[in-house]
Amino acid sequence: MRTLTAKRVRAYVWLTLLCIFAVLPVAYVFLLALQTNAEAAALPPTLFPASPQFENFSVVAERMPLARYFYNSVVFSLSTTVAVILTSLFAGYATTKLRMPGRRFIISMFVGGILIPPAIRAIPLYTMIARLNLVDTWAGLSLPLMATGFGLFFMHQFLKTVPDSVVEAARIDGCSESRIVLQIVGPLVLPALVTLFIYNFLFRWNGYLWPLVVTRRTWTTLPVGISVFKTSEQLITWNLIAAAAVVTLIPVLGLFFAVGGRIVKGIAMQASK
Amino acid sequence: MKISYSDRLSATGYLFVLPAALVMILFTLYPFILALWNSLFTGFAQNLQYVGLQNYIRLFTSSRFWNSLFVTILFTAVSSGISGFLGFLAANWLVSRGVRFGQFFTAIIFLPYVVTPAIATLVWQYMFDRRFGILNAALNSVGLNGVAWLGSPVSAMLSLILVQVWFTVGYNLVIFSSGLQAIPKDYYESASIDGATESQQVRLITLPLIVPTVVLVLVLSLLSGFVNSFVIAQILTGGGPFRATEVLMLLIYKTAFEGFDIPRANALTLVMFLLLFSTSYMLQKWQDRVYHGLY
Repeated sequence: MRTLTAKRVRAYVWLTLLCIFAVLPVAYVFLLALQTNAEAAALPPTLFPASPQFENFSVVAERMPLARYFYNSVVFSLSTTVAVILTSLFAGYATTKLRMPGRRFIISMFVGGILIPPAIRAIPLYTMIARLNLVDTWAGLSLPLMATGFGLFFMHQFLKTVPDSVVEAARIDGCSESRIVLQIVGPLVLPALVTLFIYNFLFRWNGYLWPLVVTRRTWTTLPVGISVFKTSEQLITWNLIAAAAVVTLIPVLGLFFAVGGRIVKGIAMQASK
Repeated sequence: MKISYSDRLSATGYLFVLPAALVMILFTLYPFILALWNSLFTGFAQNLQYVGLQNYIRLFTSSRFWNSLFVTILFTAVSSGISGFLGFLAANWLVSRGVRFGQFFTAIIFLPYVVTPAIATLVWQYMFDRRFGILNAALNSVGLNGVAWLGSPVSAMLSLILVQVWFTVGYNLVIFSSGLQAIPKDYYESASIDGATESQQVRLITLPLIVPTVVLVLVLSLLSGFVNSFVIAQILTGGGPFRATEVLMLLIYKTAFEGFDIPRANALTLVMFLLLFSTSYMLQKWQDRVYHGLY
């Protein structure tokens, strides 16, 4: 019995250390964002600001087009996510409930797509988008991400669990197929759609290589804009960079605190398949 | 001729798949075909000149490519190894030792996975800073000398790996927890009645039964290693010092946008993709050979 307690204590210690490791950079960037210029460049480095400098946010918004980048990130992430939800819902319905010939091939195409995230195919995609003269446009940035292997496979798996009888009953009542998808099956799988929404939004909001490659100024997103801002600064003012970083992190952290359990569960569920 | 009901349903099916299929074919499949074609040329835009396999030959004879390949494998292998091992250990503590607040611990350790990689890497860069970084300040405060984290080839690579472990350890913890929970508890009970020690139980029960989880973690680590290695290396070190951290994705990016050699960057992408694909294929094959299911 004593050895079990000792082991448990050791487990708590290690888990706590891992927690500190995980939280450290995130906590630090919030503290840094509220420091004065002098505090951010002090030796030895300061952790806690003497008086929180909230004007850092307005100062950095003047030094770089932070509001525009924020807007770009929102438009890019939301539009691609809504599109992914629609394309995946309809395609998943077709492959699970309409059973047309060749659907096995279609499903394997979805699965293959999972292995090729946007960062891996950045240069081939860029070659194509450049030929279409769509560099630094919303279409060039977003159209390629309007359907993803992950989203398609995820919805396919989930729609398999919807009983066929639901669909058949609706058909007998004279419902058209698109109305079945939008008004009957869609609401039934709402939890899956919400999970897909969260994941896809996170992936797009956090994306770096693809926006870096395909945008120039007009459609630059927050992560790219901030890292470019840092490289272009003569004298790096880290408290301002941290303020811009906090602006980027607030939506994802908000999402994490609101539905973090759901994100974790979603991964555990995917893993057990 | 009358069109049957099932034919009509099939037609609707193709219509519903069309938007998704169009995006996948147009923006995933076609770019790769275009890249394959483009990699047989040299020059850019309208001034392309056919050179056959020259880009590939130049690639395989360039020491910069082999260096990048080595650096990428090193980064991916070591970071997946450390992160997978830590994730497994932590999951084992959480699942088998009846630790309380398990969900709380899991959520906190998982947090880095949702943090924007480019932003987190910027913060790490400042934390690694030789003079102003809090890591060296912490070392100084306990009487140790500061380290030039990003200054030497070896320590720069270790710093990159540290950041990648930070990103992925919580994710691996979640996957391993789910794999461990699937193993029936009575396996362990009957083993401990037979007098098996804890390490024997891990070695003889847990490990053989979580082979699919291990393979899943490895495939996902491979993928996130390739994707994250770009963000981390580009922001932390730019590939230096002395190209010690110039991972493949970064070499591809530099070839395209610093060397303005799009065809060569496409050739590199295809080689890298083949590598990624064949490695995950081999991992899958290995799983088929050593794993015989959960009895």
